[in-house]
Amino acid sequence: MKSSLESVAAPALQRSSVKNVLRDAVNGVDFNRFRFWLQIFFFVLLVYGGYAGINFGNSLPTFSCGYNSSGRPGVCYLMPLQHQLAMPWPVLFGYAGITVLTGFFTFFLWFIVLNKGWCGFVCPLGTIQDWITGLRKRVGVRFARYSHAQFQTLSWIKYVLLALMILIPLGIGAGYVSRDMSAPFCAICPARMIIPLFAADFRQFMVDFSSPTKIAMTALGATVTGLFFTGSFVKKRFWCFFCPMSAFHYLLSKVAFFRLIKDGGKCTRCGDCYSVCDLQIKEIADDVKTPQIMMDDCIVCLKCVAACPEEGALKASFAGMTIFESTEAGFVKRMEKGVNS
Amino acid sequence: MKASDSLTAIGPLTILALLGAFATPVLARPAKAPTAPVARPAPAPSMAPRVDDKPAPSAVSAQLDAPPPWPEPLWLVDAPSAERGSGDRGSGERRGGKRGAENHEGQDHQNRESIGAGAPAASAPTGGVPAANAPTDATESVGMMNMGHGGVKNLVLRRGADPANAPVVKLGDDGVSLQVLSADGKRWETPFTDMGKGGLRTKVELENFGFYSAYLLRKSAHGGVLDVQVAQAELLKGGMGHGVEYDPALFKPTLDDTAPIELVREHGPDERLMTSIHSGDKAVFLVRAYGKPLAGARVSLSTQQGWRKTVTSDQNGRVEFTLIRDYFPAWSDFNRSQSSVFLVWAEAETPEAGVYNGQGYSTTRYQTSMTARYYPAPYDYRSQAYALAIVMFVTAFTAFAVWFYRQRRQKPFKEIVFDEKLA
Repeated sequence: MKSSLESVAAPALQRSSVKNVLRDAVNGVDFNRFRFWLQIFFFVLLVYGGYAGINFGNSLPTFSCGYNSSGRPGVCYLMPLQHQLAMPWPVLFGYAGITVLTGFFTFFLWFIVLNKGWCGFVCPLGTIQDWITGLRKRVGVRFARYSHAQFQTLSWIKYVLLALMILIPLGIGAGYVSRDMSAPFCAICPARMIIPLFAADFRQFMVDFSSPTKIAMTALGATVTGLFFTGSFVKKRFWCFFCPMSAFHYLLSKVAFFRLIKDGGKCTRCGDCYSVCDLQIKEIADDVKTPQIMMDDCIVCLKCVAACPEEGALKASFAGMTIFESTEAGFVKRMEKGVNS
Repeated sequence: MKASDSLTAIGPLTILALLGAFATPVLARPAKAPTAPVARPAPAPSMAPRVDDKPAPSAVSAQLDAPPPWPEPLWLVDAPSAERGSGDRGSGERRGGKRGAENHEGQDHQNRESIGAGAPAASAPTGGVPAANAPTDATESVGMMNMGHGGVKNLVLRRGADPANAPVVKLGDDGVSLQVLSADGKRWETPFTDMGKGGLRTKVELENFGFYSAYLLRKSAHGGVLDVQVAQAELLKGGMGHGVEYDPALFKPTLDDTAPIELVREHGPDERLMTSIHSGDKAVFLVRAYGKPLAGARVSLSTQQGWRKTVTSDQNGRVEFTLIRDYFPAWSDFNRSQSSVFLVWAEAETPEAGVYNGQGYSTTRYQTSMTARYYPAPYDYRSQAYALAIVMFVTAFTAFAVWFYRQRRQKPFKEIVFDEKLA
């Protein structure tokens, strides 16, 4: 009888053992290194994928910049969205509305897979900022942080930009705004100038003199690019704080598959998660009541999960299945390598 | 020192920049340069209808008596130098396609040359202009208006409305010569010689600084029409020093009051002997007949890329064109010294009757042409310098602002001595 029970339980125990080993391996991964290489993979894919004939379409929820005309494997959704919204109103609110809805639906399908993980792992401009941060560390310049009051104020900018990014093209379509203002966010987005540089395309490094409006917009774009370089050097993920794509993501994030979950009962409010957060999201440490802890500024980089010493206090889940969670063993393993870099 | 708050210096700048992006006043769109050929204008009242207009079905029988079509313009251009035969791969590829083949179907391609930039590409197998063995004479200073300012010009005769594909031509009769007129009224002739490729060339030596007018006059009578064709060239000997850059008399175009039809490029108020024409500039021409403005003349301008526009001269014989961009290389191939040729020609018709070489005619058609070279607009390359300057300035300024802010917040170490006796 005993041997019979053992024969039945053995495969189950074996499966459980394999599962546990796999889970321990994932939870104890050298997360920073893993993320670094994953970011490089996506950077190469989104900046040079076009040379390999890859085409993901025009609705990507990340900065696969359309101005990188040769290397892009797809186009950031904000660009076609602005152009579509600038169509004359009778067209936009007529048959062409189907095109807009189709584009949005495609964007939505892409988005719900990774949620704001598109920012933390995939976005080429985010990766560039992380590289600049790495440079700052090597140089030995200390990083900067916003005060809480500054954080609260600046956090609204991305929503203002998102609103203007939609309203200005609509104004163009209605005839109230000059067409020289088309794709207004692209005109000031630093990705327009920076990402094509990696494909040896310097054409966007220019001031467009074809009209006074274009002069103003492209000069402003150059100004924002200058701010980007300095800001990213002294502040981690400087641009992500103002990015309207991030705001757009957050409006849809509640229905996405990929989520960041917090178990407040297991949180000791040690503050490790806050100290490693590039975006300085205070709630990640202070809020012990909200399970879905992902805030609007979050880029789901999962550095907080990797830095948490409490068993299961923070976890990343996909469609309800935990794929990475905080563990004491993983924390200790990472601490030995220096997780708070 | 506390690390927080140190972005105060950059934070407001960011807010201003980002909000400023959308606070930019929406400015009215300025008048734009024409970017597409306009429809053929209606003929002026003083002019007879064009004979190459498509006839109405009811007028088919009348076609038997219709005058011959207008001849293709005959024009002069500076012989390409080795320098001008390089560069611009893009434009060469563009114009070497179907258009070139169609426009010159049935012509002897072996006798053609491409002019200026793009000649190497024009000889590509896909092109319609296979012969690219352009004569080069790099040992001499060549050029016309705005292309070289030397005193020796080598001019080649071509025929056709498409500057990129027009073949060189050899006129049937012997003893063809170019008439040259200087600003002081001096006239002389220089003979055309066989250039060995089915074409003619001539060499003009200019003695003094200033603008010269050169022309070749051709007449032919057929079908009751006398065609008077003039191939004009505005030649310039330019330079610096010797005080020539301050002598306004040298900056004026040379006019010929005896010419039956004349095309004069109006010089800008700031034009000097070393001035160049750029894309985006206004090119103004006067059409004159025997020294008087000719109204109602049809004036066309075409560029190497195939862009063409036709307008009618006003009461003062004046027409104006905006020179559109004609140079679209890859960024890495951009050459700000790259020149493009544009061709402008004027046509007018009068009911003058007479006999020429034993053939009677009841109509006289005048046609004159001129070419010039123009360069990329300075904005095409300066715009990148401006953007780079802005990015570098903002980066440096904000970096300095952050550094300065951090320096200000540093407090020197101050030891606090606690006096226990007072406590």
